[in-house]
Amino acid sequence: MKTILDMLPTASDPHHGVKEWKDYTGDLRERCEVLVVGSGPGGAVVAKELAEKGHDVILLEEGAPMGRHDFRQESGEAMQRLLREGGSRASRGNIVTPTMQAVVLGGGSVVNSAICARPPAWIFDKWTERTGTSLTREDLDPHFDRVEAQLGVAPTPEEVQGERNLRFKRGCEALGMSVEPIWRNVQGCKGSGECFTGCRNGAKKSVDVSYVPAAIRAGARVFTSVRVEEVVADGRRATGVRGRIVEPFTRKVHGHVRFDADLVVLAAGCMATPVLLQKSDLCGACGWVGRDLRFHPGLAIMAMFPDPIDPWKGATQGYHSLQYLEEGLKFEVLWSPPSVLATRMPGVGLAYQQHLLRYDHLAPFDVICAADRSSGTVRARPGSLDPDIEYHFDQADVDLMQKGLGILSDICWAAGAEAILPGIHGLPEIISRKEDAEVIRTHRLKASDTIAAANHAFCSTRMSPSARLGVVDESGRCHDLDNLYIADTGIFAASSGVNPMLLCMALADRIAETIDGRL
Amino acid sequence: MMIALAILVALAASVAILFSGYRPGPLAESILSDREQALVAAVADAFFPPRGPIAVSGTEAGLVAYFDGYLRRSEPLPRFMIRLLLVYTELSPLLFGPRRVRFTRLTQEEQLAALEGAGTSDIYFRRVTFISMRAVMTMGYLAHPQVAAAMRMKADTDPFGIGDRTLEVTPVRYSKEAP
Repeated sequence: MKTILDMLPTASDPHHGVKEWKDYTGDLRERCEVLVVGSGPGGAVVAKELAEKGHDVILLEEGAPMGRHDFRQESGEAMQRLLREGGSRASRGNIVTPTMQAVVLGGGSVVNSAICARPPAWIFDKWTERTGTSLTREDLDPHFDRVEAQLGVAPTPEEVQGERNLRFKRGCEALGMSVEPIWRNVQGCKGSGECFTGCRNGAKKSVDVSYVPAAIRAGARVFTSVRVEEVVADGRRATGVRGRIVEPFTRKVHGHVRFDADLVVLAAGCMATPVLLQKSDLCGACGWVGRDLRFHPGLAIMAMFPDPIDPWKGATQGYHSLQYLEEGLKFEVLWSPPSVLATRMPGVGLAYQQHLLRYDHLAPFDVICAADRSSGTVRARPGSLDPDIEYHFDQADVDLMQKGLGILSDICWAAGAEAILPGIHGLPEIISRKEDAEVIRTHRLKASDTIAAANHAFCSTRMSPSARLGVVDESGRCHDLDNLYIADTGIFAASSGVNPMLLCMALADRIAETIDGRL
Repeated sequence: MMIALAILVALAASVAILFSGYRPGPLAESILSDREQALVAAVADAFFPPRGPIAVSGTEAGLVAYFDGYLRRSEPLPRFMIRLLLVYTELSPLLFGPRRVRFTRLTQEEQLAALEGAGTSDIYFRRVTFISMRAVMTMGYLAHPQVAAAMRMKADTDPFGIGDRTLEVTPVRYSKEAP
């Protein structure tokens, strides 16, 4: 006979109990106390914390639960299975900026490099300057502690760093720059460098294998293959959501859903949450829904070493330098599927093939920029739930990025590179002498000379104690509705300075605490 | 009225001529049209030519089939955009040279020159289309085992032989927060 224990997730099957489209017969109609839309880092934390406090929680996710055996190594197929718009999403504006959002149980935590970094205290002073928040690092520290304990956050061990990471460390140290192993939410990482396409070792403690199973054990119900299309409200109260059952990968529609709840938490992500609010015609009074979108644009330089370093071996991102963080620059080792990075190598035909043959000598290092002066918008595309994203990369931030590229070049040379590939239009494709690399600093760099990727996105439903300056208050509650909360990176009031996942989760932990106190 | 009609007919005829004369593609069950298959094959071999330092050309690496699979799995909007990219690539030599014929009618050297021109162009849009095309091609090319072997690239889930061993955290001075 089946007992309740048979319905719970186990170490070997962390997704046990998660429902998907095959489990549904016809339309779905459910009711709960707290409804959480989106199972990424923000939503999973809220669901688990509130379920553990005894609340009746439902967690909704459009993507599929993906186990370690479901991950594909081939980057094209992997991106199409794991990312919105097959990984081809990009903003328009003065440059085309590729930006990736996951569609899978666990959201971005399944495909990111597992970087967990606490923003420094002064970041919150900047938030205060922008929108008047009073939140401090001290307020969030207990929440950081809880999240880090749940995820087993620890520095990357030396044994799995690999030469790609170690050369970066060597370069920073030679320049007298601070450099430290990156703290990550992994356990038993073997340095396979496959974070981006999903960890086939199951070492990454993404929220689908950490928070979501804990939520289910505490009684939460998890429905995947559910695409939420509208938040339903009555006056100042959200009453639930409407949407459809959508088969993952094929996007085939199987039926309608209606979930009613006493309280709704949107954690669909910085792009999807504002679109959902716009489609539902909610929270628009302040004028900030989908406005003030911020990115951390990133650019890489490839260092070419005289000896093979096998860049595919080693932790995806094992070291970073926070030396210039207050200026708005963060330096780190970069890795993603080799074919994605190869796209930016120079040459066509035989020359391109020659570069590919030297790939085992190459290490990409990158700089990400706080980009405080650049912003954009997220708008609902007509007839679609995909966002129309516009972003303007301000020249002042491009100048800052250029400074970062100069430092990055220094790191490459100090690490022992014999040449560098700047990947910037208007600069030589290969620079073989350190003196010649000064052109990186002296060239007048324009935004359109770069192809900057931006996977850290925030501020599209920003936080402010004033209903005039933000969409949500400091507890994450929408100013316009009494029982609608947002718990994703959209609520950041400004840049997080560092990688946003841990801050998003700490804020979600705090939001869950507030909701528990109010229910 | 008659003049407008004549112009329309002439335009339609020009477009028909421009998009005619393609041989049937190698993939019978393809979502790619014959024209698209011909273009993908031409671009594949321009990026990754036969008899190059890697002894597998783009078409030998199965890039037409790869592209077909990629397009098949794409959602409607990205699929439309990819198809637009193919049309643009095919017709771009009419605007930018090196010879004013469609891409598939260029010699291989000219095709190489056309792609090189796009990759280094001062026109941002041209560079973006070049990168987009190269991204899909490179993903398919590197997925071929012989290409990966030539590059000495090995996918290994345990490259350092860690096994089930528990790793000690290196005792270095670090902080989990920014300075």
